[in-house]
Amino acid sequence: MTATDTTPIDALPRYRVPLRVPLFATLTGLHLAILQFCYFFTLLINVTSTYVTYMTVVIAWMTGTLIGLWLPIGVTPALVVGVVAYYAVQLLVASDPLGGLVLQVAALGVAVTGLWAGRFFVVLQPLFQRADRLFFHENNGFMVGVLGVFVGFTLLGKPFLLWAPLASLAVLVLFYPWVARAEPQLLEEPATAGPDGLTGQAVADPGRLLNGGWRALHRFGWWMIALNILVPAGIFVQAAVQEVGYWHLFWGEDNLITWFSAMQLLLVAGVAWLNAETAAEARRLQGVEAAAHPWIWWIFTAGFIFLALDEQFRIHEQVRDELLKPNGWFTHLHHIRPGDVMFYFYFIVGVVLAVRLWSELRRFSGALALFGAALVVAGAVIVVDALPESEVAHWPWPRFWSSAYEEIGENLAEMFFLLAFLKVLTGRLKGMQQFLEARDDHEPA
Amino acid sequence: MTRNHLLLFLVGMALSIAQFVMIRDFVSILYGEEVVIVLVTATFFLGLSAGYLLSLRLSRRWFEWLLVAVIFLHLTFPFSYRELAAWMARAEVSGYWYLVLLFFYALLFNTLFAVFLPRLISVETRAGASEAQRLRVYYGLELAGFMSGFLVVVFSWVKPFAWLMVPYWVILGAILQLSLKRAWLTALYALVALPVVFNLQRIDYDTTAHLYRDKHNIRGATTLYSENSPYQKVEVLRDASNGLHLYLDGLQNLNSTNLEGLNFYIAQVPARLIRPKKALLIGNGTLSSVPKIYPDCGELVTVELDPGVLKAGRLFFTPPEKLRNLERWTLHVDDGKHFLRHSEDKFDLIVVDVPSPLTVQEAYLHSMEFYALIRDHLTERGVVAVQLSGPLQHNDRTPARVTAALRQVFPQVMAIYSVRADRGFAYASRQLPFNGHAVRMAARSYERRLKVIPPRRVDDYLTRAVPMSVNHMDLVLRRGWERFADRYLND
Repeated sequence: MTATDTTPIDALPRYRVPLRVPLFATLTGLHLAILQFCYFFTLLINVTSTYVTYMTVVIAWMTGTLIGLWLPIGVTPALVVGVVAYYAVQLLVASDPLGGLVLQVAALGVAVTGLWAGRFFVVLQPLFQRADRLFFHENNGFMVGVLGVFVGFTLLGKPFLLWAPLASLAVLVLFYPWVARAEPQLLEEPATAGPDGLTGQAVADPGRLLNGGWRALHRFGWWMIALNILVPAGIFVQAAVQEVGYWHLFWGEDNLITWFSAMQLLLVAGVAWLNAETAAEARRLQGVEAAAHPWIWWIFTAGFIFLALDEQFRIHEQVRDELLKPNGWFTHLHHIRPGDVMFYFYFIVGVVLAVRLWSELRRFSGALALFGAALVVAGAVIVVDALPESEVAHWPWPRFWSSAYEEIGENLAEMFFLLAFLKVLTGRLKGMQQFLEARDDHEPA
Repeated sequence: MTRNHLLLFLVGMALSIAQFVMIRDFVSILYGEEVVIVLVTATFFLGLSAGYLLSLRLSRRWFEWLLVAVIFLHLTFPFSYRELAAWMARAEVSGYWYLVLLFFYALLFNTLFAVFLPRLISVETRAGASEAQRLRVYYGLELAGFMSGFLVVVFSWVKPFAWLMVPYWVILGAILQLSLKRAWLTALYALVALPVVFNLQRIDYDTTAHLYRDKHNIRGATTLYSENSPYQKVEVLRDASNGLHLYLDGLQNLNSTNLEGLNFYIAQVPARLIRPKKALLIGNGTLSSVPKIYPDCGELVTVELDPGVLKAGRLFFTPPEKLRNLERWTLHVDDGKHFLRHSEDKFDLIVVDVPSPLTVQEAYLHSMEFYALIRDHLTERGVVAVQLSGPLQHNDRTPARVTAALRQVFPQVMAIYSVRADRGFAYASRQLPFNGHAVRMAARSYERRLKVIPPRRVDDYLTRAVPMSVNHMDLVLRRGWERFADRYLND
């Protein structure tokens, strides 16, 4: 593998592939999974479920795929002949399931259907330009197809075997002419190209991203504020309508607001990642104010992904119940429930790391204030959440503090983090836009 | 053939074997309902997607590091994830962690192998063949390798685990050498692999026992048998009180305690009452019913699909001496429906001794279509005996669904429930040659609390049950998902 001595992705030209091309690849993967597994179930219920059936389908399919790689057959004929072969096998097993040559003939049908599984890659490769994306999208469709056939067959039975391949064929045949017109657009030469070092990958469509992107992000911020009001409000309304105490809808971890919180944490991680990318890009542009420590964004990205996982999978509760409490660690602290220290730990680590973020936040108006608000709210939530129930029981509305407050407060803190990070992102994008516009103005015509 | 050609061929082989090992082992760890099989299969493809995504994003150095790490980690398969699963069971962690384990190992199993193909197609030296040409050659070679790997898998069926893992590890060693060309590293790999290979059987059995002891709560479990058949992972365990357990894909098929009750009601009672001239046993891979009903039968035929279960049955549940001199008994290794479709014989008794409908394949053997096939091979007063998994109740659960399927095909269906065997059974016929009283009398030596629902009352229980059929296998999905969610998603 001598050619892999460089970082492959940087050594390749950058292309923008229209969305319909990967979509077609995914749909093809889905179509192929539907056909392969429909063959399998057809033979399983009509002929035999011995391992010979499975082997026949797999080996014949791969043989067809191998031939398809080399056979110069048109797209529509390959698609149609594959599905015709499938229905021919359906007809055969329905009319003569006991025939001595059923499996052999079925193998031939499977191989004919498999032709497109090989031909597809050869046809689509020029549109993708890169093999990784081609295999990736096809494989994703196949994976969805594996799940879909199982669900479809168990719920619908034979009608699924009869109609699903035809339906997926129809989608592909109708879709393909639109895909065939797509041309991959060369964005930039490999990474070394470009006077300012701006790679095509990092700013795939600079005009669109910079001109309209930051405004879209601004709107996104307002949407998140609205959601953070609507979700808890909706839960209170639901409690009133169902005539149940609102605290029931906040307690436990398998509820809407916990899920929302996990999703919001992932969004915060996503915006932190975008900040990492744009901070790196700003450094390359040499004219836009660059981040002092761009790597800090990667740490915050990882941190918020971890917090999302913690929220969804209750990691800190498990550490508390299975490690800290059984070993008697942190179980005798004042105003803290036994072992309930993990969020304090997260908080302290976050504050220490935030020092490195300081210069980034203060550069963009409002970001520092929002980040500070997030820390204050998060701190207040952590303190109240960790209090022993015996202490909260004396407060007015104790159920509010022990259930709703924690969840709503967490979401608010996440929202402030999100808004702070969005401020940085939109601010830097604006700066990049101004820089590029100024540069274009000064370039000779 | 260049080095890259050979490399991709071997990568194809490795992927094929990895797919088999991963799906079999994780299905066994997570318990083998169809829902789990499909989930594990989809996770394998997820690992591939991750590999394709990373393929061009890894620098050469990172790729090399990861390749070395992953290939050396392969030497811990399948022991490391079994021990981790056992440890998780001991620690009583949340069920989600088992899914994390699955996803993590899916990445280890195949992600890095999926990296090779796009890298070689897209970034190999640009001189010479076009990218399209490379795609044809390399993908073709990977497919050829995958098919060859499939043959290795086939040769390993119903054989000790070493028959599969040793070729796999050798292939990985070859991939390591061809990719990195560092003889000392490959030699180190071989050196580490040797003790694992020589202790493979012992480690395999020990880690299997740990898994069953901790995850299935079998006290003092020791592994007596563990092999992959063409259809499932077949394992026999002994517990602290010397009881035997047969597990298929991690689901308990039977144990020596309930085997007695199962055989008694599904085979012995109807055989005693009918005294069939010709009887057919479908399933019953342990062959434990054969010597018990042989004296009551004129001619006895057994059809069992899985040679792995037959081997385990002969080794641990029905010693060969019990099957000696049974001249009127024949054994066919075949699929029940395939056998019936090609047979013109009529039987007085057909016993369907197959697992509960937790997979599509098993569900078919409880369907209207299969019972119609059975009806065509029964004499006028011939009887089919099936097990219902539980008591027949007024709902749409498995016993009611299976009974409803029988009722669609046969005019008379009798359901019984044995408290001692903790199982329900049904007998169906065009015209049953015995009644509930006769069944009670035949079972009196075994238990006196047998509950019998006579044919005239069976329909009262079926008002909410959709008959199990090829077009109504939702039970496989519904019940499989319920069990899966109970186990891993609902703490």
